[in-house]
Order: sequence, then structure tokens, then C-alpha cells
Amino acid sequence: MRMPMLIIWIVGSFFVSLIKLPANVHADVPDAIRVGATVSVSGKFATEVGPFQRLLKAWADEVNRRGGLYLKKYNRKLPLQLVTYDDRSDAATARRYYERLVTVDGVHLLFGPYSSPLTFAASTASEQHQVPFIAICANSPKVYDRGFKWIVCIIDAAPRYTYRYWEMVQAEAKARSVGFVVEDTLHPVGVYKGSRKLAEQAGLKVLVGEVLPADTGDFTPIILKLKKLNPDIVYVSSNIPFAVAFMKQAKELNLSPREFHCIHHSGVFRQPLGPAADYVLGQSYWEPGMKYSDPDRFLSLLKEAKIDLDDYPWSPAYMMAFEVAEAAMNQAGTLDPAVLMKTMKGLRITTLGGPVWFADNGVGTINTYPSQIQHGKYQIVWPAEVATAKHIYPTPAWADR
Amino acid sequence: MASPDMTISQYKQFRPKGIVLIMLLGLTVLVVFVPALWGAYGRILLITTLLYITMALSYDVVGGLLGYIYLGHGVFFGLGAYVTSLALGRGQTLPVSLTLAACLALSVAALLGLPLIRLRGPVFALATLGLLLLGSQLASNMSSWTGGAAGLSLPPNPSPKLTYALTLVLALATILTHWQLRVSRLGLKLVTVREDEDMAESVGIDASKAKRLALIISAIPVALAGGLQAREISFVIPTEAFGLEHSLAPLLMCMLFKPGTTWGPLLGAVFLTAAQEFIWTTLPHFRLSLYGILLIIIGTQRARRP
Amino acid sequence: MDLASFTQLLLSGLLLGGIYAMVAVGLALCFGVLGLLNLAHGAFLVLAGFTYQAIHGLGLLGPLSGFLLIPLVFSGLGWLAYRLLLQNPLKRASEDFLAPALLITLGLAFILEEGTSLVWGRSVAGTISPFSSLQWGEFYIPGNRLLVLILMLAISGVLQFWLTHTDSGRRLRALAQDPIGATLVGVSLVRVTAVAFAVSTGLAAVAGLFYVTLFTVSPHLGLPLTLKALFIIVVSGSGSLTRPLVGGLALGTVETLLAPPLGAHWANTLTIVLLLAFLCYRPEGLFVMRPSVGHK
Repeated sequence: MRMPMLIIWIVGSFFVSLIKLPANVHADVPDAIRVGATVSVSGKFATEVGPFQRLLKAWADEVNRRGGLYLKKYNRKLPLQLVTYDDRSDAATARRYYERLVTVDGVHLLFGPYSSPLTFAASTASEQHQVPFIAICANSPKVYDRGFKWIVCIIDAAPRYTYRYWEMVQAEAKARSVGFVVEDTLHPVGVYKGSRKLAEQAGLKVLVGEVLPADTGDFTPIILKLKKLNPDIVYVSSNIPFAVAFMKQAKELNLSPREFHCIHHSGVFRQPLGPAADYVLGQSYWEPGMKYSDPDRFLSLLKEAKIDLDDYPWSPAYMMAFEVAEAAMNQAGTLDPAVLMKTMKGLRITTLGGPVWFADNGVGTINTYPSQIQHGKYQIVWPAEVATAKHIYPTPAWADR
Repeated sequence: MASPDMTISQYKQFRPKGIVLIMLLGLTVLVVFVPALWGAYGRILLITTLLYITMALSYDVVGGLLGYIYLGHGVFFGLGAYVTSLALGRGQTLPVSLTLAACLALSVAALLGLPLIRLRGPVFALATLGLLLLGSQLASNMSSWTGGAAGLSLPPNPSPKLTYALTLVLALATILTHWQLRVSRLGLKLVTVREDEDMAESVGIDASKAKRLALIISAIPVALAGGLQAREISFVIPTEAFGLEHSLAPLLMCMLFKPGTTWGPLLGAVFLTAAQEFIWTTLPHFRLSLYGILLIIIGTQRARRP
Repeated sequence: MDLASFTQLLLSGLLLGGIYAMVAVGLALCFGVLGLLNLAHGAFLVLAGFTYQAIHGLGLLGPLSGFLLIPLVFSGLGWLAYRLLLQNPLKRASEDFLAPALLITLGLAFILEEGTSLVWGRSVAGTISPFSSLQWGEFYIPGNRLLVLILMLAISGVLQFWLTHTDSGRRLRALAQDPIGATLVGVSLVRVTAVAFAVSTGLAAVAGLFYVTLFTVSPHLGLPLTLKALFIIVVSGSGSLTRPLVGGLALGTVETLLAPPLGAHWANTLTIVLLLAFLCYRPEGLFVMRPSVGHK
């Protein structure tokens, strides 16, 4: 047999790693506030949240530089101790490590993983062991329909993801019809189902709603259909690779509606398209120029974590989760899970992206703002009190740019 | 260990009872006491290990005894996961759902066996990989049934103990089946086909029948494993259930030490779980590379065999 | 469907097929020589696409020099990968090298995939094509797809010429037809295979450059694309390089034309079913050039 030593070593350390017995969660005065999370450092979400481990660390470091968080019950400041693992972007692994975080590492508070499927699997661990769980980028209603008591989510449910956009369309009353192009994965389909209803309520005519496989390379068939139906708005509910390929071919085949809306239009979308990304609308949690809470703090954390807001437009949602966690612990004044959870459910604070409170099932109130790429910059265009620029409508035809 | 140049009677006498018995004993002790000691996390790790053992040993029937490079193992894992979830979602109990999954796996394996047995070598590998793609496509296309690409979710597991016990029973049953199969007539036929398929047919072995049986025998445990995992995490999604990982991990576990034996895949499964646990909790960026490096090592070693 | 959209679809399908053909021809070259299943082909393609976008983004190279330089660099990479990973195992296992090659290149594919997403840290690469679309009446022909088609034909012409009219090409074919005989008369198996592998990787890079301008590439795209190309080769046979070319064009057309009546989901599924059926009932398609391999 080859490598016997290696095997003994690895198998041995495996069991040693297990022997790290459950931390003493119920100590009278804990020595630190243990916060756990998994981040998809590898796997399909790695390119979307890989560096967020640094963001979590930047937050914990910043809090600890100030001496930690003051908790009334223990009458002292406690430092934050962060425990993170790589969930490899897969639900089974996420589940496994949340179980580890709860039972082996003895965390007091959990932040959710990226995406609804992972959160769905991970939150069973926190529910079972009764540990408060703050979900972040996981807005599928399925996650919150299960009657779980130990979960809250920063952001609003997926069907309402772009409601402010439809409000704007209705208020402006310029567009009359819309055509949907949808990528067949959980989040885009969820957004599409909600948006379709919202569009109809806003008085628009839905001319087509086509759900295409995520690996679609050639969009000629749907583009031809859209050219024939000629909707005012072409609404692409998809992840970024899908949207980039669609936009490129829309340009090649000269599809010129009055507006393109691609729900995700981050820097990763804008850079490959260059000038062709101009005028496209999408959704942003926060853009510089918005005034809620403490934008400077957020920007300095981003800088410390070396994260570019344009490339990771969901990073503000993480900031809001930090703010909620701090406020909840501050108000509860204890790490007792039941008290902490009760405080969180009753919380009402203004975070970076606006006011937050939680519904009975845990779903929060933070939603995205419609933002338009204007000369390579993201500008919030609705509602008026947070807008950073005026909405440009209609989009000029390809030939006139 | 068993080598191909043994005569059949020698082979029949050769039963490495000691090793397997000790392993079984050790495994049982471990498995019964560890969850009590280490709580829920130990239980999850053990379930993973036991599922891996099941997958590795059932893979070995086609990948080790028959010696084919087989990438379709995940098809049956996904099938089992979906059938179990669908049945559970319609109010069936776990044992009934698992039985359904096993029956369906049996019939699908029997059907797929018809065209697959005509293939050999890399064509077989390629075709089985294609089946995996087909499985994930079908799961996401039949969305009214399977929930499409968004996946299918179940209410939380009402009895984790039952799931755990069934996983344990499945793993032990698979070990015993494999152990018996290796020295049975069918096992010997498979080994003969592996050494020289044309020769095997010329001495009167019905290679096609043996291959079909091997496919079926390998499909049932892995389908049950899929069903149990689906119950455990209460969620299935096409890209994961029919993911390459459930074909690849068994291949690695089976090939790592000594394919075609009971202890080889067993040790491979324990090794891979341990390696995953150790490497993935300490080093990021190593999800695929771990598999990549193991594949290259196995490929290079395989080339060394006479 | 009216005639105009049918024609537009047909055109698009043919042009999509051009890309498939380009991937398949590179793979077929490697395949034809040794029956060497290079599962890392698509991973090289994706890496080339990301590299091109990075260089393009930095403004270091114009599109033309990028198109010339990157394939050369990738040929070097392919040669290196062959020398380091494949050469010795293949020499040792001259009887049964298909299985080791399959495992090793699959391993390489995974390492390249993770390396790509680690180094470039992006989920997607795609650049806007430097060529505008041609317009004839109602029809639009994207300039870059047309270019792919033309280049595709040119490249396979050159390759075919190389195989049939030059010494190194003849050595390669000799090896493909009868390895023992060829070795006896002094053809170096190692050297010729290394050359074939390098050329094939270079072609993967060319395909990657076009892919990134036409569509978008993501790190996980490599393996599915390799599979698609392999299926094309299986269906059309690897006997000559023109066959995968035709096969690729056909697949692109079928996929695009089936999408409107069946829906894109089922069109994809149907092509996989068709390909699997072909594979099962014509397994010899793989080994047209070297019949002895399939039976070992």
C-alpha cells in the first residue's frame, strides 16, 4: 500500500479535529462573542462571494479595535470571535459546517451562507439547536415558509425584489409593455414570477415570458421573437453570465427596445460589455450618495477587505447584517439565545440601505433600488428621496449611440 | 491479496475474513458510540462517511470488479434522491419511499444496461457521463414534478435517528454484499471479464448478462444512499443531485487503494471523508483541486499496472 | 414560423455550429493520433478566454496580436502539460493508455478550472466583438461569427494539408494507423504525440478567443463543452478533420432550429438523447483511424 503514513496522519488528524469538544456555550460570562458563517470560497459562488471572508474579518477587527461590544448583563465589552468555513457552494457541505459551527465551535450567532438553497439546508441546523441565524442573500419564500423561529433575513422576499422599479414604471407611465427573458435557476425564476405580477399590476402588458436553460449560448430564437413582439421593456431576470451573453447578441442582432432591465448589472456585467452596458437598468442595494446610517464606515470596511463595490453589489447587504447583529446584541444586552432572538424580531433600526424590521416569518424589509448605468457609473433613479440621478428613458437605439 | 493468476479453487478459498471482520467490528463500535460522544456534528460526519462507504463499494462492482471507468454512478444517486423526495413529499414514510427508489433504480439500471453493455473502455465512460448530463436535464425540465432547476424541498426531518439507523444498516449491508459478491460465481465472472473480455466469452461466460447484473447491483445501494441524503438535508436540486461529484467521489474512493477488494474502497471512503474534513476546513480553494490531484495520481498509478 | 425568421435561425445555427466545429476539430486532432481523450480541452479553452479578456482589459495587446500570441502560448502550455503529466504514464501503459489518459486529463481539467476562477476571480468573461454585424434586408449576420466560420474552414484546410502533405503530418498519420510499424521505421511516438497535443491545445485557445467574443465563458463551462465536442467526434467519426467540422455545423443548426418548436430546455435534452443513441449504436465511430484501439 502506498502512502501509509499520509493516511494515518490524515485519518488521525480527522479524529483529533473531532475531539475538539463542544465549547462551553452556557458559561455564565462568555469570554467572547462567537459569530459563525460559511462563505463560498470555492465552487460556483466563489466568484460572487469568495472575498467576503475578508469583509467579515474586517468587521470583526474593526469592532475589536474598539474593544468589542458592550453587553449589559456581563457589564463589560466582549470581543468578537469569528469562525468561518468554506461551504464549496453546495448545500450538503453548508449544512455540515453549520452543524459544526453550532455544536463544535459553540457560536452565539450565525450569518447565513450565500443563496437560498444553501440557506435552506444550513438553517435546519440553527433551528434544531436554537441559535439565532441572520440570513443575508437568501430571499426565496420557500426558506421562510417552514415556520422556523430562529431565522431572520435582511432582505425582502424574491417576488418583491424589483417592486420599486415597477413603481417607477407606473409613476412615469411611459412604457406600455414588457417581455421577460428568464434564466432557469432559483433566484431569477423567483424574481420573474413576482415581477410578472407586479408588471401587470403596474398596468403593463406582458407580451412574452420565456424561461431558458442557464447554459443557453445562442439567444437568436428569443431575440427574433422579441423583435417581432417589440415590447417597450426587455426584462432579463438572470445571473450575470447569461445577461452578458444576451446583451451581446441583442446588440449583434440589433434588438432595440426602449429599455433593457437586467436585474444583476454589477461591474462583472459592465466590464465585458463596455459602452454597450450604458442605459441598462438593474438593481442596487446601495450606491455612493445615499445617506442612510453610516456610509463612511461601510466604505472603510470595504477598503480594508479590498472589495470593489461595483463587482460585489450585494456587499451592502452584509453590512446591514452586521448593523442588525450589533444593534440586537446591544439592545438585548446578553447572549442568551432566546432573548437575542426576541430582541431581533422586535428590532427597528435604520441601516445603510434603509429602515429594517422583520415580519413574523423572519423576512426583512431591505429591498433594492432601481439603478441605471450612466456613462459607466451606477445611479439610483427611484424613489426621489434616494435617487442620485434622473432616469434616462427611452434608451437610444444601437445605431444612434 | 487476490491476484489474477490464482486458480479458481484457490480464489474461492481465499477469504480475507480477518481484515473485513475487524473492520466491520471497528466500524460498528465507532458508529454506535461516536454520535453519543460528539453530538450532532459527529453524527453528520458519520452519515457522510457511511454514505461514502456505500457509494464506494457499490461503485466497485462496476469500477473495480468489472474494471470499467464508470461515470454514471451519480445518475442513480440523483434518481434515488428525487424519487425519495417526491414520495416523501406525497406523505409516504421513509422506508416506503426508499423501497420505491430502489425499485425504480433497479428497473432503470436494467433498461440502461441494454445499450450500455455494448460499450467498452472510454466509450463506456463517455456514455455514462452523458447519462449524468441527461439526468440533470430531465430533473430540471420536468419542473411540474421536480420543481425544476429551483429544486425540491421537504419539511424538516422528523426522525433523524431513523435516518441514521437506516444509513448504518445500508452501509453494513453493502459491505456484506460486496464481500459475498467478490467470491460468488458472478464476482468471479466479472473479474474474468475484466482481465480479458473476449477470452471470457470464449470460455462460455455470458459477459453481457454479467455486466447487466453488475450495473443493477451497483445501482441499488447508491440510489438508497441518494434517498437517505435527500432526507438528511431535506433538499434536492438537479445540479447537486446529478452533479459530477457523486460519480467522481466513488471513482476516487474505489481506485485510490485497491479496486476489486472490499477493504480498498472501504478505506478509500474513510480516507476521502477524512481528507475532505481536514483539508476543506483548513485550506480554502481546494474543492476541485483535491479531486484533480487524486485523479492524476490514480491515473499515473493505473498506467503503472502491468 | 415564417421564412425570414427561419432563414435567420438557420444562419445563426450554422454560425453557432462553426464554434462547435472549432472546438471539435482541435480535439479530434489529438484523438485521431492516439485516441487520447483529452478531457482538459475545454478547460484550456476557458482559460484562454479569460486570459484574453484580462489582457484586453489591460489594453496591453490589440485584438489581432492577442489572437496570434495566445494560441502560441497555449500550444506551449499544452506541450508542457503533455511532457509533465501524460508522457511517462502513456509510455508505460502503451497497451491500455485510454483509461489513465482519461483520468489524468480529467484531473487536469479540474485543476485548470479551479485555477481559472482563483486567478481571475470572475464568474464570467466576454468581450464585445470588434466587428459589426452585416445587414442584408431583414437579416443580421454577426461579423465575428462569420469570421469564425471562415477561419474555421481555413484552419481545417491548413490542418488537412499538414496531415497529408508534410513530413510531420505524415508521421502523425503513420503513428495513428500503425504505431508499432511507425516506431520501427523511426517515428518517435513521444515527439509526434507531444506536437499533436500542443497543436490541439493551441486550437482550443483559438476557439476560446472566439467563444469569449461571441458568448461568455465561465470557469465551469469547460467540461460540458469538451463533452459536446467529444459527442460531435463520436457521431461524425474522427477519420478526418472535415468530419468533425460537418458534425459541429450540424449540431449547431439542429440545436438552434429545434429551440422554437420544443423550447430550449427540451431541445438540449433531445440533442443529448440523440448523441447518446449514436454513441450506443455506433461506438466504433470513435476509432475510425485506429481500429485496434477499441477492442482492447
